[in-house]
Amino acid sequence: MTAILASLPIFVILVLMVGFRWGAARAGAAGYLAAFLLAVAFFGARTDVLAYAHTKSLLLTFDVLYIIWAAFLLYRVADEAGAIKTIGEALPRLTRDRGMLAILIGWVFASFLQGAGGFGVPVAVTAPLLVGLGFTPLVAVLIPSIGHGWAVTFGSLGSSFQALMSATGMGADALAAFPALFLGVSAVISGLLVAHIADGWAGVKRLMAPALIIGTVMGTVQYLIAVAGLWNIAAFGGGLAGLLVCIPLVQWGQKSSPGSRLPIAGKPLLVALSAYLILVLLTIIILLVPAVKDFFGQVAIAVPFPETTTTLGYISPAGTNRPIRIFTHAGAILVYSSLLAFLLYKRAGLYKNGAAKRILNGTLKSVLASSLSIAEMVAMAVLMQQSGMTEAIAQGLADMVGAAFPLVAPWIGAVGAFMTGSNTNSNVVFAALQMRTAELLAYSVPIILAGQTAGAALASVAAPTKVVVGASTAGMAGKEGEVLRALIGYTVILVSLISLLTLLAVFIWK
Amino acid sequence: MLKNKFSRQAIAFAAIILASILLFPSASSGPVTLTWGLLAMILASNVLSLFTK
Repeated sequence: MTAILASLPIFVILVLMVGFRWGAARAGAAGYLAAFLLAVAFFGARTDVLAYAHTKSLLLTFDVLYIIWAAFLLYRVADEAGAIKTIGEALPRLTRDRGMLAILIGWVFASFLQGAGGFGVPVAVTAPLLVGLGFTPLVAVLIPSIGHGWAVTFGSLGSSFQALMSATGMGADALAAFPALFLGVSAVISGLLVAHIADGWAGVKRLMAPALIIGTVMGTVQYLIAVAGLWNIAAFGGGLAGLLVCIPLVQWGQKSSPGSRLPIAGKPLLVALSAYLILVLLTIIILLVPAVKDFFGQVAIAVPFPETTTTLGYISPAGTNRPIRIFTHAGAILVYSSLLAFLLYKRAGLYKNGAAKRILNGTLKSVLASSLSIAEMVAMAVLMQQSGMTEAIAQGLADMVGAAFPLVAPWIGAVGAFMTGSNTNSNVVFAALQMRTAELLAYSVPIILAGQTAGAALASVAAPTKVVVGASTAGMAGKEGEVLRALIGYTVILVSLISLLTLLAVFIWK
Repeated sequence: MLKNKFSRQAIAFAAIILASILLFPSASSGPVTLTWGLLAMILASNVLSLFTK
């Protein structure tokens, strides 16, 4: 009964977003208000519990939004210069094979865009390209939606992974390996699913070898970069490696004929990619050169919180938040990259008058609604944690599913992403709950959290909020239900794969 | 000003952030009424967001 009561705020968000199609900012506010009332009325949250929960949630919100705002800034800097358009236009010149185009644009390029930007950009950019190449609007939305899911956790320059770390207080050294492994495997399967969507079983058979090679390269590169500590560029690196491998593979199985491949101008493409090359370079220098890392890492926000106790006796121990290092934070590296890229594009004459103002206005308008919803949902999640509600749900879940928890954990993440439209939000809402349940059942916390975030990443592409964006860019506005129905089957396959991998992992790495 | 969706969301977001910053010193050494005033500000901001279509 206590667990059901404690889970009401989550159900409020689920029902309002899925059932009533509310936006995340409105539904997040409703979930927060429900959590606040329950915490005070039924879980004995005193004034100090409520107050410190809000300050903790502020720090967590800042930690996550720092990346989201800066990542979108970098994307706008590149987009305003026409860089995304240049990259997108170069790719169809490589091949005329329909299945290979689906792989190249809808899987590899969409994953690269997810690594670099995210926020619905992969589908918004590639779906119209695919329609222009002759795919039906439904297929044009399905291909990039399924194609980029594997890159979501470490994509958007690591914002979802940052949320996972912030919500659990665990570091990248403990958390990065398993999600990178699970998502690497799903990268390969995603490629085969893309081939199936584009060209049926014949496409899968014909493109099996290149899909396996490209998927393995992307998954492996993402894994290696993530475990090396550069998790903010792991999906970006995977996507970039995929593009590099894809180029010699694009004419796989085709008879070479004149006109099957058109020339590409190298210099404009290199200039277009320069924003992201700067990001890679700065990330490597700041995070891997100890002297630079130490120098920039001197300023940190670390707040010591006292112990709090609810009237029901639930204790949140005293402690300091995970320090937020202002100048080595992934968000800071993105800001530096944005400034340098802006200067470079400006010098190359790629901006029209008023570009800086348009970039800043565009960034502010695009991130405000998601910032508000993240602030509300983070506050709800921390309030639930501090008042013992998360503990109550974890106890209820542990009693209910018991040994089957590794199979269930990815589905919890998936439901969270489906209802909130975001891997980041799902991690904010559910990561602490998953961690506590794993502890109660004595399962490996990093593996269960990997199941959480990987399930959320792969299901986030089918979230109604994302489907609406994808459908509108491909000319399917008003037919979102059709897109959603077609997406669900593929999403279920991918999340089921993560369930099995989580189960397997907890038995191998006890 | 409050008729515009962007302005309403901006005000709600700014109020949540401001109140959350002030809650730490308030809860540490301030009067309980001030703490509840700040909590009320956050609640009101969420109500504003709830009714912003």
